[in-house]
Amino acid sequence: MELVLHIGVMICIYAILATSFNLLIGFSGLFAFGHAVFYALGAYITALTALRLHLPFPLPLILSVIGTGLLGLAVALPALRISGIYLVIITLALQVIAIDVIINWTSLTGGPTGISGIPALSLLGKPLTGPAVFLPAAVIAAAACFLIARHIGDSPFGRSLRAMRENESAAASVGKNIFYMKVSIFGVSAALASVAGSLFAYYLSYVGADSFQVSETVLILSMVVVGGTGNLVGSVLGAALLVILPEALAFVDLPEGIAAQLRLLIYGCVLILFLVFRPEGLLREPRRGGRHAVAVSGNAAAELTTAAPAGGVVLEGTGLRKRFGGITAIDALDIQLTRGRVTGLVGPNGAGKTTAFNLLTGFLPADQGDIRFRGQLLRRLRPHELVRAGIARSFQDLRLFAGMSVLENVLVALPRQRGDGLLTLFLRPLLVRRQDAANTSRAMAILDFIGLADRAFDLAEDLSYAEEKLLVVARLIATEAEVLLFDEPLSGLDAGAMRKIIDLLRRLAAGGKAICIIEHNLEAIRSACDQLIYLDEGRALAQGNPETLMADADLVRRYFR
Amino acid sequence: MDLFAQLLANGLGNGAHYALLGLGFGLIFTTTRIVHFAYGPVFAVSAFAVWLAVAVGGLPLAAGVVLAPLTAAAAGALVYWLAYRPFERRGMSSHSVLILSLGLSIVLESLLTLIFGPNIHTVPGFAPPIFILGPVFLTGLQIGEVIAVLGVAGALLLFLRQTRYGHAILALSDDRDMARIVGIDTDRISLIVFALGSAIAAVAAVFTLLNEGATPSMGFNPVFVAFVVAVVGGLGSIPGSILGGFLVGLVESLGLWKIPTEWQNSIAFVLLFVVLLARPQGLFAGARR
Amino acid sequence: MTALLDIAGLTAGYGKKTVVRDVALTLRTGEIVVVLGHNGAGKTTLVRAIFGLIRASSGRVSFDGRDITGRGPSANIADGLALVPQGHGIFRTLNVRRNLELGGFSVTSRDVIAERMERVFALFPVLRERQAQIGGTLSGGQQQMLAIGMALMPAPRLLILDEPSIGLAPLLVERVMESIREINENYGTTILLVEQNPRLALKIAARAVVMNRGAKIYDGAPEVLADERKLLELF
Repeated sequence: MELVLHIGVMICIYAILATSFNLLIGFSGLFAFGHAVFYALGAYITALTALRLHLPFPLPLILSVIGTGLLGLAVALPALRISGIYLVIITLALQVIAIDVIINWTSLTGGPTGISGIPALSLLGKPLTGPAVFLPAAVIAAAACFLIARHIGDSPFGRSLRAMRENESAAASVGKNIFYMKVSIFGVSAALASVAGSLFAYYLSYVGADSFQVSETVLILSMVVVGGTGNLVGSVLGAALLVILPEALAFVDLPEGIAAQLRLLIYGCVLILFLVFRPEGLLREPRRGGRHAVAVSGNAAAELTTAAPAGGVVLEGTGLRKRFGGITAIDALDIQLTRGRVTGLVGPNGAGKTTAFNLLTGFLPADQGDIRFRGQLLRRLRPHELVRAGIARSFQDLRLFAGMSVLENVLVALPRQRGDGLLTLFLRPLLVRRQDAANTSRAMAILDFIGLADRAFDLAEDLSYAEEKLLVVARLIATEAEVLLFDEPLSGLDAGAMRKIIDLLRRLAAGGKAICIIEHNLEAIRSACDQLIYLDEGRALAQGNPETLMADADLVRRYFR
Repeated sequence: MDLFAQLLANGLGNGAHYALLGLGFGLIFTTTRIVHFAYGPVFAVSAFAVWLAVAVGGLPLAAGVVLAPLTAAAAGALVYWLAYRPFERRGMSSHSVLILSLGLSIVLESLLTLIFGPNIHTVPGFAPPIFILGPVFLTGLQIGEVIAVLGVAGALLLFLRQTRYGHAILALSDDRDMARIVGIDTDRISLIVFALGSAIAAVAAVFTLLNEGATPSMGFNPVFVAFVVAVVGGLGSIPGSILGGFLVGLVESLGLWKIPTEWQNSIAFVLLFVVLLARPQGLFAGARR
Repeated sequence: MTALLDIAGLTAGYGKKTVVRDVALTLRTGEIVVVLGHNGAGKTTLVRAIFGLIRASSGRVSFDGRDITGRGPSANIADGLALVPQGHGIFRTLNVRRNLELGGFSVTSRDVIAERMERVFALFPVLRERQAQIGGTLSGGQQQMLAIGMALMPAPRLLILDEPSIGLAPLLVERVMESIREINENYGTTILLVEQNPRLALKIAARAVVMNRGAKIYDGAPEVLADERKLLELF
C-alpha cells in the first residue's frame, strides 16, 4: 500500500514536469533540453530556504517559483538567437554545467552528498510526512499546475505559440511578438517545473545532484513523446506509464545498481518503440478552436466591402535602391500605393519584384530612398510591429500554419487580442473568453466572406492548393491592416479560382484597402489591377493603367523574352 | 613557468584526444546532418572490445588495438542502417531523429552497464613509457595520440581528396539533393561515413582505455566535447577540427592555472556555450578542406 | 524516329499533396520539347518524378522501350538520363573541376572523364579558365553553364533542364538557349526543357507542352504559342 501511494506521489511530480515541458516542445516547438535544471533549481531553493532559513511553507515554494522562473527567462535568450539542433546542444550543455555547479559548490549544495534533513511540509501545524498524507498535497499541486498549463494551452496565447511552432516568420507577419512569446513561455515552463522540484524536496526531505542529470531530462522528454506532443492529458498519461512501468521491477529481487540500469533501459526502449510505432504518442494533439458550428457575425463581409472613399496615397516609396553584392536588384524605384486601388507589379523573373516587396515592408533595408506610410517616414520596424501599424504581406510560399485548423489560421491573425498577454489571461479570464468568442465569430465571418466557411474545422494542410491561396487572403484580411501586399496570389490557379480571388481583391479595394500584388498572369492582371508597374532589371520601365501597358507590344515582347 | 610548460604539454595531449573526437563526429554530422548522440556508446563499445580481447581473451595489446576501429565501424554502421536510415526514409523530422538518437544512446549505455557493470575496467599490466624533457613529464600515450591525430587527419584528407568515395562524401556534405542528382547512392555513402567516423572515435577510445580504463558511461562527455570541437573549428573543416581540438585542450588545461580542478569538465561546455551564441559558424570557418 | 521517353498517366506529389495529375508525354529521339507553365503548375515535380528523385504515386515512365518507373537517379543516369535542377545545380563549396568530376560520378574511367571534360570546355570555354575557382563564387551565368556541363559529363541521351534561365539576364538566357541547341545538334541529345519564360525557349523547341495545375493543357507546335494572343489565353 505504501508503495502504491509512493507511486502516486511520483506520478504527480512527473505529471507537472511533463506538462510544463510539453508547453515548450509540444506547443512552442522550442527544443530546449535542460528541463531537469529547472526541476533541480526548484528543489534546491526549497531545500535551502526551508532548512537554512527556516522559512515556513509556502515561502520556499514561492521563492522556488520566482527564482526558477527568472532562470527560465534567461534561458530563453539563447533560444532567440539560435534554433533547431543548436538549441538542443546548447541547452544540454547548460544542463551539464548546472550539474557541475551543484556538485562543486559544496558549501551551498552539499556537493555529491546533497542536502538532507529538509523539514517536512506542514499545513495547519500538521507535518505531511510519508506518502499517505503527502499524496493529497501532491495531487492538489499537480492539478493546479495542470490547470494552469491547460489554461495557457487552450488560450489565444497558446494558439499563438502553436502558430510560432508551425512557422515563426509567418507568426511574426500576422503580428505576433516572437520575443515576448519565447521569453514568457520559458518563464512559465520553468516556474511550473520548479513546483515539481519543490514537492520533491519536501517529500523526500533530501535533494542530491543525481536526481537531475541529463538522463532525467531525457526521461521527462520520453514522457512527453510517449504521451503525445501538444497534448497535455497525454503528458499526464505518459508520466504515469513511465513511472509505473519500471516499478514492476520491484517485484523481482535485484541489486539496486542493476535495477537503476534496467529502469533506464526501459525508458529508452519505450521511447524508441513509440517513436517507431506510434510517433504521435498515446493521445494525438487535439483539434482546437471548436468543432461545432460558430455563429457568423453577419456584418463582417459587408463591413469589409462597404464602399469607402478612394484616393489618398497610403504607402509611398521614392528613389528606392538596393544592391546585393555587385548586382543592383532595385534602382531608382518610385512606387505609390493608394487607398481603394489595386497596384500590380509585373515583369520577368529576376526583375526585382519580390525585392521591391521586401523593401516596402521593411524586411530589407533600402540602400537609398525613403518609404513613407500615411505621410510619415517609416522607420525600420520588426515584422510584427509593421503589421500592427497597418502593413501586411503574404509570402510566395504561403507559409500557412499547416497543423492548425483553417479557422485558427484566421483567428490567430486578428489584431489586439487580449489573450495574447499572459497577465490578462490569468487576471481577466472572462474578458479574454468574451473577446475570443467574438473573435471566433469574426474569423468565421471572414471565412464566410472568402468562401471557406465549410472547411473551417479542417487542418490547413488538408486544403487543396486553391483553398490554401484563399486562406492566405483570409489570414491577411484578418490582420485588419490597411495596406495588403500579396506575393503571387494567383499563380497556379485555374480560371475559376482566379476569378474568385480577383473578385475578392477588387471588393477589398472598394472597401478602402490599398492593395499591391505581384503577378505573372497578364489576363488576370488586366482584370485585377487599376495601375501597373512594369519592372525590368530593377527599374520601373513603365507605369500606367493595364490596358495601355499591355497594348505596348514592346513590353509584352520583353515580358515573354 | 614549469607549471605552465607542463600544462601546455597536457593541453596538447588532451587536445589531440579532442581533435580525434571532433574529426569523427564532425565527419558524420556534416555529411548526414544527424546529431549522433549514440556516438558515445559506440565509443565505449570499441574500448570494451579491446578490453575483452586483451584482458579476457589474452590477445596481445597490439592485436586488441586493431579490433577497436573495426568494432566501432561495425557498430556505427549498424546504428545508421537499423535506426537512422529507416527514420529518414519515413520522412521523420530532424527533431525525431535527434530524440531517437538520445534514446538509443541511453539504451546502449544501460545495456553496457548491465553486461559489464559500472566499474572501471583496465588493461592489466600496461604502463606507458614516461619521457622527461627538462621540467615536463610526458607519457608515451600523450605523444602517441598527437601522432595518431595527425596520421588520421592526413589519411582522411587524402581519402576525401583522392578517392571516388571521398569525392562523394564531399558532395553529400555540400548538397544532399545535388548528390542524388549526379547519381551518388546517398544511403551507401552515409553508411560509409558512419563507419569511418566511428572508427576515428575508436582511436581515441583506445587511448582512454589505456589511460583511465573503460566504463559504460565513458562515451557521455566525449559526445559533447566532439560537438564543441566540431563547432569551434567550423563544421566541415578538417584543419578546423584539429585546431578546435587543440584549442579546447589548451583552454581547458591552461584554465587550471587559475580555476580549481573540479571545474575542468565545465570549461569545454562554457566554451561551447560562448561559441554557439557568439559565432555559430565556428572560430576557424573559412579554413575549408 | 522512335520514342525515347514515354510517360503515361503519371501522378506524383509530396506527402498527401498531389502536384502532377495524370500526365502523358512522349519524346522522340533527337527532339527538343519545352514544358511551359507558371509557378506551381507542377513542372518541377514532373521532371523530378521522371528522373526518379520522387516516387510517382501512379503511372508509368519508360525510357528507350524499358520500364524505368520507380527507379532511382543513379540507375537512370547509367541508362542515359541527366537532370539540370532548378536553382544552382552545382556544388557550391567545391571547385569547377571537382564539380565536373562529380557530374561524371557514374563514369568510372578517368580517361573518359578527361575526354568528356574537354567536350564541356569546348562548349563553355569560360569553365576551362575557371577550373580552380570555387563554384559558389562564379557568376550566375557561369554557374548555370557549369550545371549544364555537369549534366553532360555522363553523356546523356536525354537531358532534362529545369528552368535554366531563372535569374539570368536576357543576354545570358539567349546564350544558354543557344548552347542547349548546340548540344542537341552536335551530340543528338534529346532535350526536355522546362521554362517559365516562353519566348526564347519556343525558338529552339520542336514541340511545346503547357502545364497548368498539374495537368497538361497543350501539346503541339510551338508556332501556335509564338502568337502572343494565344499565350495570353493559356497563361
